[in-house]
Amino acid sequence: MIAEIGHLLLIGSLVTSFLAGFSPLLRFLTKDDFFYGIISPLNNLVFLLIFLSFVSLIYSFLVDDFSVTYIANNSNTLLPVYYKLAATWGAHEGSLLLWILCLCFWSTSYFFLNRKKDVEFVALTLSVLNQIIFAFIAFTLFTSNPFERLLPIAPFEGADLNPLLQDFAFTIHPPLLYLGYSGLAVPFALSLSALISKKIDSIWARDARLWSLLSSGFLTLGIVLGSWWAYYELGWGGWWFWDPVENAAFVPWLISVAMFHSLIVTERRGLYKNWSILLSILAFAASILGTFLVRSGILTSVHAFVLDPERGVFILAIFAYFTLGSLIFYSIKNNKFPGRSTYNMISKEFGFLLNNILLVILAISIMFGTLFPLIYEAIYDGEQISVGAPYYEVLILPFAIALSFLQGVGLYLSWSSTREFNFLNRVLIESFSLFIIISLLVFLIFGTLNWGAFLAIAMFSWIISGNFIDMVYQSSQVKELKSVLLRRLGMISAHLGTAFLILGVGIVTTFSLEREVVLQKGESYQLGSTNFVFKEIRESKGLNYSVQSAGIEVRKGGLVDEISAEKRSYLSSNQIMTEAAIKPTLLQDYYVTLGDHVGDGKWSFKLQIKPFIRWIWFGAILIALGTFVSGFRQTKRL
Amino acid sequence: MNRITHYLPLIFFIFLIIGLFTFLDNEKSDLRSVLLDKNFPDFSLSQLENQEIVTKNDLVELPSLLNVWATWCIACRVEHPFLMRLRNESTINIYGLNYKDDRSKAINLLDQIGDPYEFSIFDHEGILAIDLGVYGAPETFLIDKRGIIRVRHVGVLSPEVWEEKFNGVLNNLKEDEQ
Amino acid sequence: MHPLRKQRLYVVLSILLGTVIAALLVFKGLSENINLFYSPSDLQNAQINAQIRVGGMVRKDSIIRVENSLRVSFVITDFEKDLVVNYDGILPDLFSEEAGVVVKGKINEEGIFVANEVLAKHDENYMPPEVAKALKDKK
Repeated sequence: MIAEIGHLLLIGSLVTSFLAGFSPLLRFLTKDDFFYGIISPLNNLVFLLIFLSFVSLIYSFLVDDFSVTYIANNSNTLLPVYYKLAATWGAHEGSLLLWILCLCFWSTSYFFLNRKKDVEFVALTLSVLNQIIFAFIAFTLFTSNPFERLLPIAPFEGADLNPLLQDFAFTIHPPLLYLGYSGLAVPFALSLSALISKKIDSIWARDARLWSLLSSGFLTLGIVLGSWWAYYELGWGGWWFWDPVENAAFVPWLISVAMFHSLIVTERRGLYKNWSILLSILAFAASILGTFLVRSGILTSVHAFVLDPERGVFILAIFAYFTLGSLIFYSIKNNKFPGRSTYNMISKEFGFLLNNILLVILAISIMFGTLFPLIYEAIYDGEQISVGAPYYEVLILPFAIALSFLQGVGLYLSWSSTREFNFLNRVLIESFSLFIIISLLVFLIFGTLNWGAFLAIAMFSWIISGNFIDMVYQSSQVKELKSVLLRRLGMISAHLGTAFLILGVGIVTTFSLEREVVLQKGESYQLGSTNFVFKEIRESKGLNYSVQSAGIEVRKGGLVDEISAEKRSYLSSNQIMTEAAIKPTLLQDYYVTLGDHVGDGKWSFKLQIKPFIRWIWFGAILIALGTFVSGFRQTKRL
Repeated sequence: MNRITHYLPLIFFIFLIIGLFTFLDNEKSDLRSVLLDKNFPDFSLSQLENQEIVTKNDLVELPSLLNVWATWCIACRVEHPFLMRLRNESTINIYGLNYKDDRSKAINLLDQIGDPYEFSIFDHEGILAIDLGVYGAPETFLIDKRGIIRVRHVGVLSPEVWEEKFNGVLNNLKEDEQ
Repeated sequence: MHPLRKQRLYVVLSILLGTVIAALLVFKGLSENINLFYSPSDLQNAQINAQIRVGGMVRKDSIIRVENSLRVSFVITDFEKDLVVNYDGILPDLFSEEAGVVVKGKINEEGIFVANEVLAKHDENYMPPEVAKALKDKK
């Protein structure tokens, strides 16, 4: 019964979002402003309907309604309540409903924050958002309905949630990620409204920047969670695989960063208007393209949701409609916004432009690498290839170096033109203080000068000193430092986060240690300066699994701690999962994976030491925090 | 100059979409074109119940359906009652292809809910399934009197699907024999 | 030069420079990092000692482990040809007999595949499209 209600609510929202989405057409035809005014209430109704529909799905999960196919495929009576809730978005159909809910959240938030603004503009923006909502509801209803019934005989037990997904980080990863993906629809809609109503000014830029920042922040968090989860759940110690699905999130992220930087120039100097609009279209397009790649089955991936070319066509059609539609508007209408002021090569404007060029070219190159197997297969008649991680690693390094350099230097640039003397002066002071820091750090920590470490620390120090020295220059007295810091908190946090991220990546890539060994009970192995001792093997039971766990003692310096590496056997599906044992410390992670019983009491283990790995996620969280701080600050100005 | 550059993204995306669409289309036709109007492939596998080896020559009650099923396939339960009905009303013979399954679990399930199959082929490794181009379960094939595959349906076999896809073809086949 | 034109020149030059560098990296990266995929029957076309991927089904009862070490060997097949794979390391959770698997490594002079990576997908009922396609194409 509840599932039917959920289904009906979904149909209701389909109709309502359609009306909201295409109402401007009626306004265009009848010239009656009623058709603008009606859009906001319709939009809010859609949110309510979708929310209730989502609640009915959750309810059905919680009461174990296995007569619903989706629930039968993804849940189980033994599943802990918390995971039954999360199972709602554990597979394709339900996750789509979550995506739609996120988008509704954004559109309604936009409405609430802009209630007193220009009616036409708000109406247009909401209608674009509702067209997107409509498209996704249609896709869900017609190809991926989570409320479909399994009749006439309902199974009395479900197939269970994939054990890989039975994990805290993984349950909040989709909501955060989807908030990011769907959030990019708002700048997109704002751009279209600007193109149609020909209104684009610094206020528009500030609005667009607000929503770009918020979406970007959520994307950052979603990606971080995905990386962290993969690290401790998949058992290999890897934290990024350049998998098509990961790239599908990384590319929109890069573009969103370019976008909110470009919008700073648009807001302050009225430049790059067309470019910002184009970026918002590209960001949203990348987001939808990502959805397409992940759900159409054309790319192989460990994350692949669904192998269904039929569904792929539908998403592709949605992609085509919004991308081509918006680009047609862009091509025809955009030259109404010429930017006229000129700037020097050594200026903030140009600095931001370089930032954008680097980010966008990187994004395109990553997307190209992701799509290349398809191109290759098409040209070479069915031959399958994969593009390995080294391609991306080689690609990203020069861009990372260039971007880090730019970030450190960029703060010294002035609008329009910079007094060259001052600029050079600061750069030299910076590079001087930097060089001292680098050499000291590298030598202190590692006792040697190693290229990988040197590069990572160089980039790290460059960014930190750049931000710090700039703060100093901004305040004429010491007590002003605090207010400068607070004023620029968002930016500083985000930039510092980038520094920590780069440092973490560089160090862990250069200095990771790993060995696969066979150990007898009581035996130990020395990896680097750490001793791993295999203490014992224990058997026990969890809620819906049975487990063998190996106690490993980690000894380094004064540190002695025991961690346990497990192999779990899930009762309902007979799947075996490895749970790695991780001992995190500030400077490194100790990582142990249990392998197989090799014979008479001997087990295989994979031992790893991962220095500075936490700094990667710490840095990324700082970035997200900074992004949110900057974003929320804009809301106060609305 | 400016106008042209402004049209570039649009042109690029048009090409991208055409490319992706073509790719998808190829994937779809790959999925469909397999084996229609071709001979049912040869195979040599054990029967589910008694482990005797069966081959293509043992599929004698033709025309018949070949239904791909497994205990892990939830949707297979949906079509099961209809398969039972087809068998009880002697509409058409059904052979089962037990796909990548556990033998004892499969036998137990049939004991529990009923066995609509003349017999089931135990395809643990999915060898015959691959030859048939099977992507998963449930899937149902219609094989005619000469052992040629006439219809392939991916998904649940409901009364509607039976009417639309299978029954018509079955009747035509019967007429052709007259 | 007129300032606006000068500005445009810088912009265009930067974009050009960035694109050229990216293009070089892309070409270099792709040419060195494309892993060709083969099924066991295709292997006569493969280069010996080149890094490739091979996919197939793990043959029942073919997994042999060397006592007290991580060395293991198994046979993968596309039901036309078999390939012996040697691997020294911990096998992934979803690796088992009669399941689809993709191995990454090199074929040595004796025709044995020395794997440096063994990949098994997260759904035991899911066969990697490449493997399914390759197996289908055999017929």
